[in-house]
Amino acid sequence: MRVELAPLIPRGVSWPAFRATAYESDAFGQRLIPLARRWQRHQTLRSAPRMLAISFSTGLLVVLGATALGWSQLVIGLALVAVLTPLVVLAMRALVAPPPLSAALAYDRRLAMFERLSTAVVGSQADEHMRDLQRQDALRALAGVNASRAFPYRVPRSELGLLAIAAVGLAAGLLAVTANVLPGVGRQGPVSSLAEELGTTVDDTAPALADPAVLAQIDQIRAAMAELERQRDPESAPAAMAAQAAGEALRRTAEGRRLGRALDSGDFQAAAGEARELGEQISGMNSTRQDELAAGLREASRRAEGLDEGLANQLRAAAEALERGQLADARSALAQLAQEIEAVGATVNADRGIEAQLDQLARQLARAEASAGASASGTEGDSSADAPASSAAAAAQAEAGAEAAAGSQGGGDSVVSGRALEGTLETLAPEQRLNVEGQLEIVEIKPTEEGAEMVERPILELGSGGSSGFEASAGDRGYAVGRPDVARSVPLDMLPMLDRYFRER
Amino acid sequence: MSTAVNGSDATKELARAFRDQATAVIDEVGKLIVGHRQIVRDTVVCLIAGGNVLIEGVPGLGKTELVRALGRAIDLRFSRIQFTPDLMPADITGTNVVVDGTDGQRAFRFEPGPVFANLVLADEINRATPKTQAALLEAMQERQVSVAREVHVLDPPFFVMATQNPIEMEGTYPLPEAQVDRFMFKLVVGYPTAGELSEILDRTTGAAQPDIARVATGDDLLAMGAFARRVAIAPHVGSYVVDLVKSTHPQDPTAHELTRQYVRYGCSPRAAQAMVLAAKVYAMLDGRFNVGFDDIRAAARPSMRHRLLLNFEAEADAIPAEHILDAILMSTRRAGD
Repeated sequence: MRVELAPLIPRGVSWPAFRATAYESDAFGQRLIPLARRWQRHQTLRSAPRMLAISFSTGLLVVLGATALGWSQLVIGLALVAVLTPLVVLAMRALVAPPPLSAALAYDRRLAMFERLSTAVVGSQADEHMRDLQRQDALRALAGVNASRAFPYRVPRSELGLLAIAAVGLAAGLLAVTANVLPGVGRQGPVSSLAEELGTTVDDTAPALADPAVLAQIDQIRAAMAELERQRDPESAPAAMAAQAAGEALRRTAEGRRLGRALDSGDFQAAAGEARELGEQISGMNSTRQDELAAGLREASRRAEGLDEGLANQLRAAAEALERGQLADARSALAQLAQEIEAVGATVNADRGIEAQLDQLARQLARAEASAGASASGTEGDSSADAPASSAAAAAQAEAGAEAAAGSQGGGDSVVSGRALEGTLETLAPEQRLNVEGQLEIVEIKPTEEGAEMVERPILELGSGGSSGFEASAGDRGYAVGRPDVARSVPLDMLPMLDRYFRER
Repeated sequence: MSTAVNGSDATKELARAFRDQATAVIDEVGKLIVGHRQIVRDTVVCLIAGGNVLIEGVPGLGKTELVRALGRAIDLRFSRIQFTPDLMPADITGTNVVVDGTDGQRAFRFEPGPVFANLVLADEINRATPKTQAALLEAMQERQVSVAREVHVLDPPFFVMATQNPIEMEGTYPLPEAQVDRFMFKLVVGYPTAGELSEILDRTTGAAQPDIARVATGDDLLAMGAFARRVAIAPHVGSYVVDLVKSTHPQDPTAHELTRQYVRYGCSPRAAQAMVLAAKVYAMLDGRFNVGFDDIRAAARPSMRHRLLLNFEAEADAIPAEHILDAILMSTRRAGD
């Protein structure tokens, strides 16, 4: 199709006047103008579904791409240009007058007018009279044109599918942007939006995008954590463990049970009170109880040795005074034990306060680092459009990690309050063990009257077949092959069998 | 038909007279020729445009009758040459004969042949040898005859209307390319339909014979031809003619695929001229003052079918020129496509 570019609108020329400039001022030219406009709109309507489908589908892809692939702003900008171009073309088609020849050719073709109109528009080499006659003939033909029938405003049936695609693309795109279904879309950019949202940003991974103020904040956190670590008393953890171990020993005695519970639970203030009260009550105890208390104190002293020598010495002094029957010395020793417990409590509580602060700082640091990690991954092409959700999850994970780290460093009010042990589990004494919370426990095995009673238990016959009611089979997992000399099949899944065994017992 | 041109109104009157007279000729010929309305119309168009016509068809389809009817409808000097294998060029052009002068001396005098007429019917032209066929070359193009170093100008108007049998028939000689190119149109006459055949029987076997009136003269044809040349043709329509002709040239980048495969030589500029002139006459007959694409398309086949020289591959594959022309007409884009 031969296309002539319509001239741009000169300054100060109104649109109707401009439209007329492209056409002849005679009756033929003026009559052709509305027909040309009709044809232009018809053409625009015909091509609109395809262009809108391209535009809106591209827009939807841009939304999805920006969300899922974390496209850079440059890519998004280029994509938006691709989206807007068809729309601009459509708008320009509606605004710019079509070339007269194009419109004339369109009507010639549509109405089989034998190029009457186009010949009148472009002229010919014919003589003046013949041209005049030809133009009159074209004007007569033009007068009989029914433009609405020639070029109706109707979307072709074949284009309806494209129109549906365009509508779906537009709806999905608008839903994604306006309804915040895809929250990362429509904001300035993944990294900057995260920075605005979290109030902090990070930046070892994406230094170019980091906020200097936030970096300074992180440095302050790290400096504060280092200072708190420096202020921590290295004797605090062993002292707490010594108090707990001593408490467990004293808890087994009748007179020292309350003191032992207080020490075991870490309530040093109460423990100190119990020690003083125990000193005042000591004169009222009979010798057996005094001996029992003395044994308990001595055991407690023994367990505290190596952890807190001061506490161990005071416990030993009290035990020796009681064993010697020197109640005054024993009272004095218990009073000093109370002071020692208070000192230990002060040390441990101070350390717990520091741990609490460290834990809080560790959470802040972890949250910041987690958000920084999310931003960095977003800038590297991963998903970042759902930054709030992912950053929150990352912060939670980092927080958990921080709590674990804090727990391993000495307890506090974190989830894990146990103490880290130096070395491996093999370094524990035979009577020491770690409970399920990772805390050190002193295990004392004493045969009691009940415990000494032997309970005769049948031999657990694993997979012995019909007598136990269990099949040697492990279901569809087959049979385990036992030792040939035992000639016994051992089922692989032993849990149901053990469970049934103990229930029967 | 007057040739006066006095403003648009006079031109309009001339156009009306043109259409009336041409229609009258066609109607008169139609009294004798049953069916073949398009053949008759194309023949008249060629006469108006000043071109020669080659009519091809098997014997008995009324080719000669068509030309004879035209000779009767138009007041022209009519001559008929029956081409045979022993026909000599001098039998067509004429020759110098020795005559006794009044003074007793003998001298040569040119005795004009049958070519000296306004409308020459070269019947079964391809039954003569190429040498004899070539005797018409100069007359057809230059409207003159050269005999013994003397040039004899033919009186206008001059038309050659040749008929030929299909070259596959026994005892025929293909026309030289140069002579073929001088025919404006090549019209192919086909068999009549059953209804047409019945009417032919009614008209030709009864006692009454159709009376053909003279409705035009040679001057009228000349005036009509001159007037038709004034018809407007827009540049984009002219470009379409050029594109069509270029599509028949095997070496041209815009040549059609079938052209490259089957055409040895494409159409000459005479084909383009023939198309435009014929299209202008078509436009006038249709009451228009401009040429349309459809006029060009209507003139394309009769103007180009005999100008396409096919190669051996086309003959081997039995590809007719019409097949290639149809493909070209289908694929050549027009302005506005």
